[in-house]
Formats: sequence, structure tokens, C-alpha cells
Amino acid sequence: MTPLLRHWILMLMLFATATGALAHNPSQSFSHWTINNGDVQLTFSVKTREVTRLQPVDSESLNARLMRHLDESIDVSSGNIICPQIDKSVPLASAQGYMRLELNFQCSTPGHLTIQIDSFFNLAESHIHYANIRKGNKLSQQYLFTHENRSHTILSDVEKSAGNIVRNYIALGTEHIFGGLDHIAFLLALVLVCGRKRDLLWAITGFTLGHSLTLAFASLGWVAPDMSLVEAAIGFTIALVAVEKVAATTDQGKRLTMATAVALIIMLMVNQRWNIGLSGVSLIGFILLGISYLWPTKGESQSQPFRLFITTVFGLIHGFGFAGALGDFGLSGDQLLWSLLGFNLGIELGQLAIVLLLWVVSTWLSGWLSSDNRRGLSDWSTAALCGLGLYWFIGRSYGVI
Amino acid sequence: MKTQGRANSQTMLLNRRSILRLLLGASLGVILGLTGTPFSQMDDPSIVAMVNHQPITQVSFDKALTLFSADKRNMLTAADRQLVLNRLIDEELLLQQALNQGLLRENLDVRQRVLKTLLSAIAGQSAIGVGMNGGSSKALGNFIQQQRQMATIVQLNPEQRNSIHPEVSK
Repeated sequence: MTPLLRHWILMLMLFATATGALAHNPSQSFSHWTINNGDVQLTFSVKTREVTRLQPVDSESLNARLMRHLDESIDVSSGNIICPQIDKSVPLASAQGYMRLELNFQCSTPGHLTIQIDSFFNLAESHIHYANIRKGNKLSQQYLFTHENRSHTILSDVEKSAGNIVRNYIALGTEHIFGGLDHIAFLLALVLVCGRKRDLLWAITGFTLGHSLTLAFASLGWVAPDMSLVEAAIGFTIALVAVEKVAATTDQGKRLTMATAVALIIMLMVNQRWNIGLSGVSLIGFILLGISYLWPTKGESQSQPFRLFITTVFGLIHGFGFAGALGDFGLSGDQLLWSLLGFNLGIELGQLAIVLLLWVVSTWLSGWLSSDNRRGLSDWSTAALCGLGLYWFIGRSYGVI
Repeated sequence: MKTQGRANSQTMLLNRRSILRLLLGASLGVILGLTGTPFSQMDDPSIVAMVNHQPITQVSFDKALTLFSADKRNMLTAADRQLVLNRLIDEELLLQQALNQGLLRENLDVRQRVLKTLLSAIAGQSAIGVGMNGGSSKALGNFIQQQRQMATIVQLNPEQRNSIHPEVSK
């Protein structure tokens, strides 16, 4: 199979990604549960934007809307007896753009605890709820609630082992990469730009190395990146790989490098003039990254050490994005390393599955493609990827999306 | 020779096309990025208007309509509703202008009023949440404590901070 044969499939998958780009920010919520004997306490956090989906009654505030919704949609039962909620939910301080409430239940009947969460699922079918549940002094357990699976039974007599934690976080990591359309778009771009299987292997290795490092550093609290900058940079990496593809195909690496640098310099001047968007230092960083990445592009393939190095750099950026997602879910000290390991493994498995799927499907379909349209499809898929990357880069830089 | 020349011009044409297509994709991405995805918020039923990407919610619109109808004896007409919405849009524009000019930070009067409103809101909210009227100062203390824990606070220049300013010493 020639590299260009893959472009039909890439194009199709890209359009699937592009339509999903509108829903890039997944609908999700989080809860942290503490269970001590019969006392069940939980803090529920969700993006404020999600709360605006709830229909108000008599001009009630967002807080009141969320309180009413949670009081109606979360049930706890012990031994099949519903545990009564103690008072109403209480609003707590929260990070910017989020809302947080506390709920308390009293379970006096012994038996397995069952948690039913119906919050937001009827408003957004793709909504996902992550619950982190701690029973007494035992390690936390993680549960995923979805539209189809809204109820979980918490086993009271099983202490969670490290293996269980790793397994739970593998599921979360895999789920995250499949839900993170920008990461998938980046993998698509890599498959597109790497003509040979060996090149792709180097690229994936570099990407894995990079994101594993920053995921660990950020989760351990050794570095605290500016997440809006990281999110914008992820979009930039996608656009950059797409530009590299065209630069390699047309042998116009230097011209495209200059065009990229000029566009970024204009952006820098606009930002400085009106004091908006990313800082000057960040944009200078992007300019340098763009120049150093695109300038050496010549012919169809980069040298393998260079590919390894540059995808490691890109991986460093994406790793911070993964850490942001892991941070949303929340980690506690006693299980940090296990959960980090599990989450990273989950991402690797998801990443491998995406790349393998792409490869297998493209091989299977390669017989259908005519050679006449290959170049055009390659161009359009690259253009669409570049557009997607820039959409995220610009939109996130100016806080528009 | 002729065949080679034709092949070269064909390659040049293809290359030009590739770059044009890339530019098209890039332009589309930039435009969508700058304008936002209108689809994402425009389909939200709880938002009645967007002003420079800032939503005017159905809740605030309903509140404004209630206030407007209190001053009006007859039923609200479609024109009245539009008038109220236009006022909210104007108000939002002015507010954005004030925020852009840094009024909230720099104007002492505005700052005091905002802080006072915020403090009352927290005290009121805690009274509703806990189901009692007292204990609002404790709730406020807890709230500030939580905010401090989540914030990144770096205290700089200890020498300058500890030295007595001549104006103050007078």
C-alpha cells in the first residue's frame, strides 16, 4: 500500500472528527464521595456551561438550578433501602468556570451501597460522570457513569488493590483519548505525514515518550502549566504537522516556513497592540517552534532521529493536556502513582488502537482507491487538518471556544 | 524534452493546488476560530443573545422582563420584549467596555460596590444552603479559605513590603 492510499480513509475519518469538533468540550461532571459507616458525603462539580442546560424555574439562579437538579437526580441506597438525603445540597467555592455542591446522605441499613446518578444524562446523551469513592481508610475506587450505565454497586467488604486502581484508570485513560478529538486529529496528522510504517513507529514512540513525561510531571505537581496555553499549543501542533505534509509534498518547506512565521508575527503584533490573546513570549515560542520544525522539511520524509525528537516535543505539549484531564478527575496521594500508571497505560492503549485501526482499515480499503484522486484527497485531508488545528489554536488563544 | 517539460508544469500545477487547498483550510480554521463555533452556543435554549461571545441568558432576560412589566399596566408586546433585549445588549456592551478599561480594578467606588454585592450574595447563599440565618460570617470565612487554597498567591519583594512608606509614616 502506498502512503497516498491511506488518504481516502483519513479524509473520511477527518470529516467525522471535524463534525465532532463542534462538541470538542465533552459534557462531563465529577464527584468525590466519602463513606464513613452510614454517612455518605459527596461533592459534585460540573462546568457552569453544563448547568445552563438546565431549564430554570421562576428565574432561579444557576446555583439553585443545579441544587434542584442534583437533589432530584442522585440516589443512594443501602441494602435496597433508599438512604435519605440530609438537608438540601450546599454550594461550595469552585474553580473559575465550574460549580461545586455538597450533598449528604444517611444510610442506616447495612448492605451493599448502590449509587444512582441520573444528572445531565437526559440533557446530553454523551454526558460522562466520573465518581471517585473512598470508603473509610481504604483506597479510593473509581466509577464511570454513562447514559446507559447510571448505577453502580459499591462493594463494602472488598479493599481496592493497586491492580484494581490501575485497571480503573486504564479505562479512564482510554476513554479520555477516544473523547479527546484534538489528540485523535494529531494522531491522524502523524499517520498522514509518516509515509512508511517505520517512520510512524518513530513518531508514535516520540509522542509517547513526550506525553508520558509531562503527564507525570504535571500530575506530581512538579510543573504547573498554563492550561489555556497548552490547549492552544495542541491545536498549533496539529496545524504544524499538516503544513509539514504539504511542505514535504510540494518541496516548498522554506516558503511555508516564512508564511507561518509571518502569520504568527502578525498575530503577535495584533495581540500586543490590543493586549489580547497569548502573551508575546508564548507567540515567540510558537514562531521558533514553527521555524525549527518546518525549515528542514525536504522531500517526503524527515530523518528518523529528527522525527523522534520533534514528536517528543509535541508529546510534551499533549501530555499537559492529558494531565489536565487527570486533574479534573482528581487524585489523592495514596494512589497517585498507580493511577498515573493506569491513566498513561490507558492513553497508550487508546492511541495504539486508533493508529492500528486506521492502518488496518486503510489497508483493507486500499483496493477501492483510484490513483487519479489520491493527490487531491491528500491535499484536502491535510487542508482540513490544518483548518481544525488552527480553529483550536486561534479559538483557544482568544478564549472564543 | 517536451514530455519532461509537460511533467514539470503538471507537478508545478499540482503543487500550487496543494498550497491553495492548504491556505483554504487554514483560512477556514482561522475564521471559525475567531468567530467561535456559533453552532455550539446558538443552539443552547437557555441563551437568548450573544454579545461579543458573552451570553445573555434566558434567566436574566426573564428578570428584566419582570421588572419591565411591573412598570407597565398592559400586557407585554413583542416590541416590548425586543426593547428589553436591546437594553440588555446595550448594558452588556457598556459593561464589557468598562471591564476592558479596567474600571473594576481601578475605580475604588465600583470595586467597593462589587465586593459588597459579592459578600452579600455569599452570606445569602450560605443562609439558604444551611437553612438558617446566622453563621454567615463563618460561611464567608470558609469561602475565602477555600478560594485561598485554590488560588496561586505569590508574595514578592519582602524588603519593600516591610519598609515603612514615608507617606504612611506621616
